[in-house]
Amino acid sequence: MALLLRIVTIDLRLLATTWRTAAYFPLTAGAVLVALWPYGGSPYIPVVAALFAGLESQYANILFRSPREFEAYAIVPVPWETIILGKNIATLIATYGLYGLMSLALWYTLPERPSGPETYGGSLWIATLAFPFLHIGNQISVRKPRRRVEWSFDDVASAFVFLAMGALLSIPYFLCATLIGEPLLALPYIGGAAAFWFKFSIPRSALRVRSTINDLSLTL
Amino acid sequence: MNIIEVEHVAKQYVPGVPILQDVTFSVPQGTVFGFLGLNGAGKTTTIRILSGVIAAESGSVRVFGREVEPGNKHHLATVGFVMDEPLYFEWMTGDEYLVFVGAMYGLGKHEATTRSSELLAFFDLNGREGDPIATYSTGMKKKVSLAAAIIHRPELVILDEPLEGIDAVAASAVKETLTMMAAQGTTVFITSHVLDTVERFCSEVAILHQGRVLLQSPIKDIHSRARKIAGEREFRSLEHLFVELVSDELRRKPLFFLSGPKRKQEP
Repeated sequence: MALLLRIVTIDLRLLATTWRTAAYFPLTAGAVLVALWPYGGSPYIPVVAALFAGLESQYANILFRSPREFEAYAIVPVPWETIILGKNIATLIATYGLYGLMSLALWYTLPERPSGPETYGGSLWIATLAFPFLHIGNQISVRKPRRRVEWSFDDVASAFVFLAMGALLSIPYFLCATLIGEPLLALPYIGGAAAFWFKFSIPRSALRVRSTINDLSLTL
Repeated sequence: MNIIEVEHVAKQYVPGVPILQDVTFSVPQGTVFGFLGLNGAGKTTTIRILSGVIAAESGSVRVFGREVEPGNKHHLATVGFVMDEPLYFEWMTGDEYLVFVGAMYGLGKHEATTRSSELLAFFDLNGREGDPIATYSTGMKKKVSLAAAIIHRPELVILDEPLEGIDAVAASAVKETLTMMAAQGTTVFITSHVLDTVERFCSEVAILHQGRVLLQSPIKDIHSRARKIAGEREFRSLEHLFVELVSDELRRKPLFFLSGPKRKQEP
């Protein structure tokens, strides 16, 4: 448990110290500007889009987000399951932490503060997206890792692909929240997605790292 | 008892360009084992295979009697590594990094902190322990990676060029530490280009050349064993022996431009 917490802490600190995180300033500003537009939907739609676009590499490039990170973890006796779980938990914390900060920016900027149900609906929506994204991100990370940490066109393209997937993954939540009118009905979906991520995605991803470590290490 | 047993190992990264062709050697417990070879001989590849970070294409690699499988981390708890490129999160401070690595090896926070402080003092890194590793010199980074390799008191230490890039005082401290660890039963496996150091420091050596081990021998017997391979020659030193053994196929023409009289510089 202590080891898991340390991996979570280290991953969050890595996120906080990397200059990539600075991308959240323009993303938050953009999200707020879009939210000011009277489009009739929840003001959290641009926030959630900006959130996942900015965190794309946190989700979908978990093994190579800092130089030699993969190699550093490869030579210590910590199971890949623990490393991936720790990194995924850090991503969940970062997602909700940044959601909170971006919500604050919305509250202080919009002429009419978002309502409680809108804010809480946004949190539920994020949960319906986060667990499927963790699974998809883990799969991308171990199958097509990007072995560099700088921004490139690939990252921008991947962020757009991530957003397109987000639109599809949002369907369950919008069915519950808009069509049925009860966002809480998304809870069983969230529970199922979380269970799938924990029971299936993490062990599968760890197994994949072990079986393809030779290819993953080619840049050593 | 042999701690490392490598038999008929082959490896290539690019098809048709073998790095290791048929590498066989064994490392007895408690030795300081020098693994020597020219640049590109395959030393680093061998270390990566021993760490389980990459796989051999054929042959067998056993550490502590267990086959090393890539990605299987069970054997890593008792091994400490220094790879050719230092492996750390450079945004961490030296102290944080050592405590983090200690935790990865299962040390409690108090124990990891105590050992980290002791190692930082030993390697003269006090005063810089709170600075990010990215701001350290090459030698300081090497010291941190060495400290990280031994913080969990491993039974086997595998070090790729551990003395390269560090000052004479630190090198002496490293050698002293590794010798002391070996005396207590720890096995030390190092690669090095500094052959006179290897001759004085290692108890056994193997010479890797063009993907094959040319010779493995305890250092005290190496001259006699080398004579069996290279004919009845006298070797002045390990460096002389090494050069003679590996250069049989590498006879160079002398540089023409250095052989004539020096030309006067144009004003």
